[in-house]
Amino acid sequence: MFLTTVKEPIRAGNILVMPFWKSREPKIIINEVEAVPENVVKYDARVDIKDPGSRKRCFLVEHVLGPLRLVGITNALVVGVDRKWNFLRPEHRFAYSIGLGPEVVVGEEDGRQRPALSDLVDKLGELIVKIECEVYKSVSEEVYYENVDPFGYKGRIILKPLKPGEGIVLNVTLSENSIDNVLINQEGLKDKSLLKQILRAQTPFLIGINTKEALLHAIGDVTADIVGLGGLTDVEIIAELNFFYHALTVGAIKKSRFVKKVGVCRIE
Amino acid sequence: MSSPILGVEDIIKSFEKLNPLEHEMINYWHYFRFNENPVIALYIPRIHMYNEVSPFDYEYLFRIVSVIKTLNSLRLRIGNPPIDVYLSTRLALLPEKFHSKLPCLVLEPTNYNFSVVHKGEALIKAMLKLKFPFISSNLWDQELLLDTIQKVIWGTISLQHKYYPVSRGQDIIVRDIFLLGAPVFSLKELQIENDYIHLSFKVVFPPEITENHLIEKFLENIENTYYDLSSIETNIIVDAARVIPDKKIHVIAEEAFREIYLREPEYEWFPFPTVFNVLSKNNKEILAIGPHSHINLTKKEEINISEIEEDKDLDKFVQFISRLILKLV
Repeated sequence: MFLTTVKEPIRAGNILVMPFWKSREPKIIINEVEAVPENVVKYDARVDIKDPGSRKRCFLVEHVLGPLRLVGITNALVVGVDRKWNFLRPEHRFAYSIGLGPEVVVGEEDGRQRPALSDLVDKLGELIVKIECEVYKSVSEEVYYENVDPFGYKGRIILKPLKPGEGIVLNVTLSENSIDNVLINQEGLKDKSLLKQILRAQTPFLIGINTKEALLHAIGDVTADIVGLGGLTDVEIIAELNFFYHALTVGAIKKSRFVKKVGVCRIE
Repeated sequence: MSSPILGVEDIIKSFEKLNPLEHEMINYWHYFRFNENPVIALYIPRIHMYNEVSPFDYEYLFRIVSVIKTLNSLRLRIGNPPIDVYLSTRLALLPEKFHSKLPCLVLEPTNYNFSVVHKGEALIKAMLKLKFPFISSNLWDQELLLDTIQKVIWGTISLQHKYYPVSRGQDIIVRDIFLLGAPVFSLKELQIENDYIHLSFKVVFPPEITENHLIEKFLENIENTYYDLSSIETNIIVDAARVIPDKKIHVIAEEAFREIYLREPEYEWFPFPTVFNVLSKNNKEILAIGPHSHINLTKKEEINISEIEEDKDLDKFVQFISRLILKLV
């Protein structure tokens, strides 16, 4: 698939999404920290990344990575724009403790994926631009990863390589709800009605894991942790999630090995 | 001049036989002093305010046992460890001469989080006046009075939030995730005197908050009642504390934590003021960390030291403090 970025900066809630052309693979950089598996320093109830050099930390990056990829943006520079503390949020207290500002927390305070992007779904064609760089990246072999969360719930992930052009195929189960064969390709999530629901879905940590909305939110998180952090273009994901499921999803992508091919590409 | 290292049993016995006065005298601030040139000061604040040791002190004793084991372990490796230890340092009683200038480790129940921000504590006193004459023999007036008092007190103490499950009835562990950052009021005094209600609340408050904000929070709850505010005053007892963790002790504590616990340390606030608030005013080389959570201070039927010594978390915590100290030495 071809890489994509935004034509010009877009404000999406508490983040600003800016064009990023200088990469030959899917890549999101948040507050100058690369969103890649090796930079993930926390993955249980949320996902935080930290630059090993600057030691700068970003909180709740899954609510950037999932939504961007779901709307069809593979490459972007992102900065947080929150200027006001909300100390009821543990991420804000953490950031304040270590001398950072509120802008390093890039998830929304209501725990939704990215509601501001759902308002833009119908005009994404005007906002997103194709980069002349064709890339294939998948797992090099099938990955099986399982764990038991602190509540004793077992979860498991299977990642299967897919061929170039087959896209991302998601099968996600959370508690009593599941969804199969969700297809994400160069244009993002094919089903635009489902896309809007996911972008507005609130985190299971605030609404519990037994609702359809929790499952929709989890689709965004699985996309973020596996497709976003892994920079994948084609893979099948079978995710049977437990409660602290970021340990599962990020654990799987940290364990994965990758195969990458760059086709026609005008990026040096 | 060196003192002998006390055993755990000695500590417990000395607690048990003390009356309240002796407790404060004997359990005086500079409890241990091992070296004339110490490199670190360990503070072990006691959370409960009872004079005698009680089953509620399980986690406090756990911290003491951790330090004694650390001292014994280090003594075998490097001789008398260069450490000062301050026990039972109740906030209000810590004399200034015991504010160590050394790097300080405050051991308190942070649930293994690194804590460099501690809430402050204030007292808010308010006097409310009834808007109309009150007839104490009138049942309806009595009911209105009780309704109003209940509304004001519950409104002040019990929090609501449009997104977060902070309200009464929710799981305490989940509530605590959010309440750690909120001003939390508790009722300290209630007096009814003719047409007046005298109320006082203790409030633990986060940093970056003004006295006016605390007052506004209180005033929200007397709107649409039968009372007007007659007077209100706030008294800051202890300021909220914040230290930026960029000093040597923070860096090596993070390293030691990664080495022993095999994960990144996480920073979280402590929900009420401790000796940390006092010490950190003039000493930025300070960090609070410890086992157990402040909301789950284990209450045991009786204190059994062997149970503490067999606690699976003890050895790791001893390893962590020892590693940190060895990196400092």
